[in-house]
Amino acid sequence: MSIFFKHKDIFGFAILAIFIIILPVFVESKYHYIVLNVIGLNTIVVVGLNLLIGFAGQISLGHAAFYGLGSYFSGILTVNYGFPLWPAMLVGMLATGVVAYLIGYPSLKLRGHYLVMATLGFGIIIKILMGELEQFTGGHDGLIGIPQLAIGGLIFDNDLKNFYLIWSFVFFSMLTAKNLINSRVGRALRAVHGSEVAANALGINTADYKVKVFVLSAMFASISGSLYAHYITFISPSSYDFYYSIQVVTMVIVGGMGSLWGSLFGAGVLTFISEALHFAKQYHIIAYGIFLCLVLIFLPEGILVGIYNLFLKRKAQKHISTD
Amino acid sequence: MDLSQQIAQYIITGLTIGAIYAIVAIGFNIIHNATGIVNFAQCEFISLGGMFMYTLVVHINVNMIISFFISMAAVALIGALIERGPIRHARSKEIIILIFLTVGISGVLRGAAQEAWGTDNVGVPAFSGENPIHLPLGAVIVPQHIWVFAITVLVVVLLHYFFKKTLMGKAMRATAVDRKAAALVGISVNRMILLSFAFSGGLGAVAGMIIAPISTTSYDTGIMLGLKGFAAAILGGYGNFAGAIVGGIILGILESLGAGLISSQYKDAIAFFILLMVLFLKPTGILGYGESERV
Amino acid sequence: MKKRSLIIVAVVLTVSFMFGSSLCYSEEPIKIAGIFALTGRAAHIGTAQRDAVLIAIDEVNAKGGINGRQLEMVMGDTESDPTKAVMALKKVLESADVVAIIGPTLTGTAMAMRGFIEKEQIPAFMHSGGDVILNAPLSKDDPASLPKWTFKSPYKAADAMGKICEYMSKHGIKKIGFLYSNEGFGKDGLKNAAVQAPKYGVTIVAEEAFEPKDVDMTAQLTRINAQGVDGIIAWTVGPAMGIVAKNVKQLGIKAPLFECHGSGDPIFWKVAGEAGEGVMMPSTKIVVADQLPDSDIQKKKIVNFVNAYRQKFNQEPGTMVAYGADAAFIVVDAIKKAGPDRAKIRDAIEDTKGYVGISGIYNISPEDHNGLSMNDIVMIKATKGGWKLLE
Repeated sequence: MSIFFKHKDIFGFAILAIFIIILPVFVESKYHYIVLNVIGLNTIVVVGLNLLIGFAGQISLGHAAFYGLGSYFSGILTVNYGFPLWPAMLVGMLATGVVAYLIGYPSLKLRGHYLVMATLGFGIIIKILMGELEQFTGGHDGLIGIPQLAIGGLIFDNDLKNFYLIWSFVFFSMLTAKNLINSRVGRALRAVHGSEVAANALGINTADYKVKVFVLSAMFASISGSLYAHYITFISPSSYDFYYSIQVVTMVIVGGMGSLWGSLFGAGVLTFISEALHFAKQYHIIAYGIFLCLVLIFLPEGILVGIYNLFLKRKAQKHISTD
Repeated sequence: MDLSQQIAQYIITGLTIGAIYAIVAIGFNIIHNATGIVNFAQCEFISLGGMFMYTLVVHINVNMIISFFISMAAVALIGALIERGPIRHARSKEIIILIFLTVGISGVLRGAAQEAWGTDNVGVPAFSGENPIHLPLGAVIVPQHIWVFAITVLVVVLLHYFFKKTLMGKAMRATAVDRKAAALVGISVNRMILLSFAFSGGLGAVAGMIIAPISTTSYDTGIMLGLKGFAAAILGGYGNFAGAIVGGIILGILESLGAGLISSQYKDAIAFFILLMVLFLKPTGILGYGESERV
Repeated sequence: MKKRSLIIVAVVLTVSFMFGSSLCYSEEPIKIAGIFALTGRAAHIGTAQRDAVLIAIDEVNAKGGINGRQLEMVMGDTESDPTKAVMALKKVLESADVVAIIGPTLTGTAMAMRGFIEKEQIPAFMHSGGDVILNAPLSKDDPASLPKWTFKSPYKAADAMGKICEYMSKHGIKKIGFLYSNEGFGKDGLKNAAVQAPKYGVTIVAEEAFEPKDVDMTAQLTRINAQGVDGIIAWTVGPAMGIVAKNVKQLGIKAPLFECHGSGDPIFWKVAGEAGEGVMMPSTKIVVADQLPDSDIQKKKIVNFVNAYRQKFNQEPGTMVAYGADAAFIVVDAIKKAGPDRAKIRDAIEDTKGYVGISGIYNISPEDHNGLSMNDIVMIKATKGGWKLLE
């Protein structure tokens, strides 16, 4: 069973790598690239969040804060203090991790809806701070002139180059997540999700694991936020609101909680649909809502898993009828 | 106006908005007790209440009292339809799925409201005029504030009577405590859940309608109010009736005092910060018992 | 014989008709991109501005278009979000033949789009309020790097504030309280007030903030009033405009209330009701078109536009509408002068002098991509459901 698993994954990652490398042959328009790039950014956040929600079974409705902290740390360090680009991103990731630890340690002792409220609460607090601490953040007018990322002389200054950059990060973040899931830590997380009491009884320090996963998911979001800041070169608090937090959790669910490839799929489908529905003009909000409801009602395991299950059911029924 | 008069004003304002939070919190609690989920569509119930009131009173010129009850009934009906439709037919009963289903429903309602009424904010006439009333300690209010208090008290009293004394109320409480047992004694669990959604709709509408003359209303007024109502419910102890009232009042007053005495820029941050501190110290809210976990 | 000639006549007629009509429409339409906040929190402003732009475009098309070519608007929706705004921008730029951009609505979306517009080298006439769009350098390293391709139709918020302070100094108002909404627009206002007030001998003795979606500002107003002020400025757009007015009446505050240049809009009366009576604000002339003296060169254009708007949409245009219309008019004018070439259009826009618009008389130059001054602003008072032009 585990060997089969491994093969499927190598296959999956190979396909992803090939897709990333050859896609630019087929894609020309800047618009398509920016959509793909936003999908990529969302995927990184969703992969991290899925570790928390899907595997550890906790919920966070405040992840916009970590995405935003990544953007702001990167932005502030490079714009205001002239920090070099990549160290700034790294420092941002670590700083976000520290914030996540400080918030997560007390919060993850809470259960159920109390945890939901705590994450909602700090999401709001951080957003307010982004707008108020003007000397650092530029306040509500936002932070302008964030430099683009570069490796040596290669500056990531257009949509195609950012596509490679962002999707390389997507690839490696998914690889990291996969490794985690297949490791001892991953199994411990699944035990916590199954039953915290039982996990505790088995000697797993559930509180410890929950906080660690929370911090890890925050760091994934932070990296994505930094990439975003250097790509669009302008950030403002309005991008990091409660709606964003809801959106990324929705992507986790629609993709399938606990499914790594589902994270990619969920981010892709919802970002794509949100753009594609523009043809419906002002009805696109209603259309999006209806789509979401239909998925949640009929395919609650996630679209990918749901369709896969339907497919399996059909196969099984065919078997029965041919007997 | 000296400091004590200012504080009196802040407290009155805080109590008013706190009353609204309390009503919204009760709405959240009723659905939580019946189903265990957070109903995000509650935010839309609030907006819809205000908007129906606006259309009936300002556009069609219906008598205010009649409009009040029609709006309440209309939103209660929408609540019931939400339960009967999407919620009942959802293939998974997992809490997080249902919660996000309410998020989706909330989006649909909001989009529909935007289509129907546009995005402008609109005013609703006050129930009995806008002449300021001067209170003893120096605070000033308008008659609508009194309506907010009066109706909130009435709602609380009626609900209390309903849940304690009437058969249906007791049936709903039974369902909240233990579904299987309730079903065993012949209570239709589905009907109780349907009722809880209808109640929640009606309550949301009431909250939206009584605050509308003070704050104006629009297709999305309910979002912030809903969020804070949820916070009030949690603060007081999620699922606890008295907790909703305590939480609402405390949150309202904290917000108002924070704005007046500390800093108006950070007032929301202060309110949520205090909420988080309370939760860290007492993880089940002020009056809450906590959620039992199936082992 | 008769049949054959009939057929010949029919064929000739058909061919000449086709040829003739294809002569009329053989030209491709000229495409302008319109990117507005059509959904999301700024939707009521964005949709009004889109409508204003459409009126301007329809007007031009009805008169035959530009050199026989019709104007076509390619729409984008920013959804009131900066990321979506950039995506909408890239989408409309797909049609490589878009020659100019009008919009967006919110300052945050404008700022996100700015860098890409400069890189893409397409002229953009924005109608978002923030002065920072033109003032903030593109790169922190080079303070002189101001946008070359971006223009803006609303007058500078600093000038609007100056107008209020000027009025105050003329009417003996010396100590004021400043109440503002806790986001970009409000905070910008605070900064502007700090600069403008001293110029006119006005002192700000109290500053209070509130959240844009708050429903009650009595706490803040109580604090302001406690300082014994002669006047209060409330700098916000949205429902708060009305709530502040109501709270002021409720608390019985005697000091006159001034609001921002976005309040001159029918929505003000919807949200303030009777409490709006007596509130003063700076505004474009669009809301007091009928009260303008006949000697005002703008009067004819404004009255015509207002009538067209009333007819088409059955409501009064607010001050935001003027900005959208002017952006469209000036861009169209530039296309007439320069033809459908992005760089030439940009140059023509930058060279617009003495243009009689609805928001004012535009004198655009390389240093000033807005072109309006304090003279284009008037002070008005809200009264009896309408507006009164103040001297």
